[in-house]
Amino acid sequence: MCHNHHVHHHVRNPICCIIPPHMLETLAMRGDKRTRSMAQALMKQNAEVREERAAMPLAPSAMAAAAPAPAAKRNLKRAIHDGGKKVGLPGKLVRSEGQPPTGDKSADEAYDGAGVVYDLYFKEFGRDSLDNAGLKLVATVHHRANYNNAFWNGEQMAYGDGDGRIFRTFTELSVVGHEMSHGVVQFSGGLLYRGESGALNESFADVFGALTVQRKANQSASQADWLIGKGILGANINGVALRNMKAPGTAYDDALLGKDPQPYHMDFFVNTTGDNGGVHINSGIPNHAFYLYSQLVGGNAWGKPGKVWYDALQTINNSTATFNDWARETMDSAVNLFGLGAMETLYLRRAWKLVGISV
Amino acid sequence: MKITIKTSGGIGGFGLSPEPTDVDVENLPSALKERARAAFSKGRLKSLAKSPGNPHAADMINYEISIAHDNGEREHVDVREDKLSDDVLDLIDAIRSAGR
Repeated sequence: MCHNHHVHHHVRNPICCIIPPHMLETLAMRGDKRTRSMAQALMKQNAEVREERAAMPLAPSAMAAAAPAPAAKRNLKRAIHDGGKKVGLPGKLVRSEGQPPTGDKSADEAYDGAGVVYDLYFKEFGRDSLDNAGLKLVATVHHRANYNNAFWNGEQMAYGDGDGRIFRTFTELSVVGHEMSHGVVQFSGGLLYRGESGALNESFADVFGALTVQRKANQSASQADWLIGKGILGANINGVALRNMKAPGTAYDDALLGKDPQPYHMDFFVNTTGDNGGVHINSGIPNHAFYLYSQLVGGNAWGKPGKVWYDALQTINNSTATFNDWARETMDSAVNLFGLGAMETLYLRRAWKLVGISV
Repeated sequence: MKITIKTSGGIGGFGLSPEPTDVDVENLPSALKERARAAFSKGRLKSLAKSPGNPHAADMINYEISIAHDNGEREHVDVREDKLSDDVLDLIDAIRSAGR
């Protein structure tokens, strides 16, 4: 978000807005003399605009400008398919929008869950479906035999049944929210699914999976358990969930699965080539930052903290963002929403600091 | 022919199971044995990926498939599930099930 401070605070400077901060930094570092000079000037201008804007009291009009434009009308369209334990997608259509429950627990959970997630994005962030244009929510349940996974394939969600030993279900609400939120990431510009940007993609999905559960249960940040995939592990697995945003690294400790490898601080960042560079591992760091921020702000996490995270995704414009890039983008969102000196902004800086990221 | 299948990734990050599947094709039921021998015959492993996959996909399973041929030669491929055909994934499911 950039404004031309030489003209008027609510007039966008298109040049400034088009070039994202990371690109300016690259240009300033690698460009020829003239390009370096241009990039450095724009970076300086960005910084000045940010400071000047932050110093100004936020008028109601500015608050309104910072809020996402609400979608015009609720436009929920769901299509739940039964994969019949086979590989082919999407499988047989078993429940369309407005149809009564099927009696199949997985199909009905996928249908109801998709509605709850849609409403989180629609009512709290003004977003009409995953693409903000009414995309039909297609999901397949009973995907493959004994399939221990759920995924977003770029077009739809798919949920296995689990093998009964390691997993027993994948249609639990936080998992549904997680998979659908990968779609939101995709249609918001995307975060490359590898390394730190991949871990940010995973973390955004976890954050909004958790917010889905908390909003449905009307739980404040302090009341919530912050678990992702609560109760989906097999009965004999020693664990409570897939991930714990409150205490990353403590979701399970089991003879078969090993110990939950998630770090909560940059000091424990895991360098690995597995899991696309540890996307499900290092996501623990931004997950924990969101948890800490929500605790510091208090109240409902889908309120102010959720808005900061959602707005940051809409504005980051950097598919290979690092944790530092993301943290800075959330700071920009907080400044836009609340002002530089607001407690909400100071708390955010503190939350990032607590996980080892200085912004 | 011996087949080893390891998985990683997925929503949990640890694949379908932390345990690899090891099977000797000779011990598979005859119909499955023929399918496995045809699909994983020498030189075919590298061409298993039939699709580029979707760059926006998330939580997909990654398969590491290693083949030890009867003549001692070895082959290995690392491929994401959405790059494999439905037939190959069905075959992998059947082999993993038989290998339990």
